[in-house]
Amino acid sequence: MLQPIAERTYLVEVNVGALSVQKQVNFQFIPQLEGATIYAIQSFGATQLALSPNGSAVVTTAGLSDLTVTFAVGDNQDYFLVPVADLNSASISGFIRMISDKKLNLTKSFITLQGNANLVANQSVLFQFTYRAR
Amino acid sequence: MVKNNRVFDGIYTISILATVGQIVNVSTPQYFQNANYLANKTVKAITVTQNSLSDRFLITLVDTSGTQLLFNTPFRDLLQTSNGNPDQKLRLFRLNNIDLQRSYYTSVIPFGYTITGTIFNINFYI
Repeated sequence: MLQPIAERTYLVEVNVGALSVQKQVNFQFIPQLEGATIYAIQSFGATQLALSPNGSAVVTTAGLSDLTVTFAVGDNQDYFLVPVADLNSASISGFIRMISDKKLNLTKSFITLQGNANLVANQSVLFQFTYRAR
Repeated sequence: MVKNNRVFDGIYTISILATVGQIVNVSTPQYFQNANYLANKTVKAITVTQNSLSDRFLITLVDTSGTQLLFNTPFRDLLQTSNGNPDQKLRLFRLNNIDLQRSYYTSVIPFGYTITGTIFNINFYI
């Protein structure tokens, strides 16, 4: 299976905040990723990083299964309700999920809490984007 | 993109050592070193060695022009265990002109955690 050759990567944190099923949390605006061509995405849980860069607790591996993520390209939701656990390399034999080159619109992209059995309020989930600069 | 097997011309390893009793504070950049052996080279892969704190470090690599190449890559994603972990794939890169004086690691260790020995080795495959 082909794996990406990373030219640049950027780690992004999304905090789930208060818990409620079907809640959506949008990504923040990330200047470095604006207009960048993204070709691989990973998610990380507490097994990979005990605390987030902002000091929040990180969602557990089980908690990743409670989340989906939707990535928008422009106004179109090109990647709709992708299981976040499927982007977690440790859960998929170490692989990195690749996508065709996309300029993701992060501020219109969001995670959805499909359940909250394995989540705790104010935990963060981490995404790493592999990209080429503009 | 190429398959997950590449030919390397060399490996450059940096040992991050800690003085016993050294206190590492959260999010304070710890720069790798002054010697800039990776300038004018292309790094094709990176691995790190395991330690008991492998889920608590982030690595940022910056090139000689000041551009961030890797920002806060979780240390554990680069981990290659000494006895071989079949689930861990070698992470491949194309990183030119890494500036080790500007590149650093940060920790998410609780404030005031005291390091008790070697922190880690990081291996750059060129």
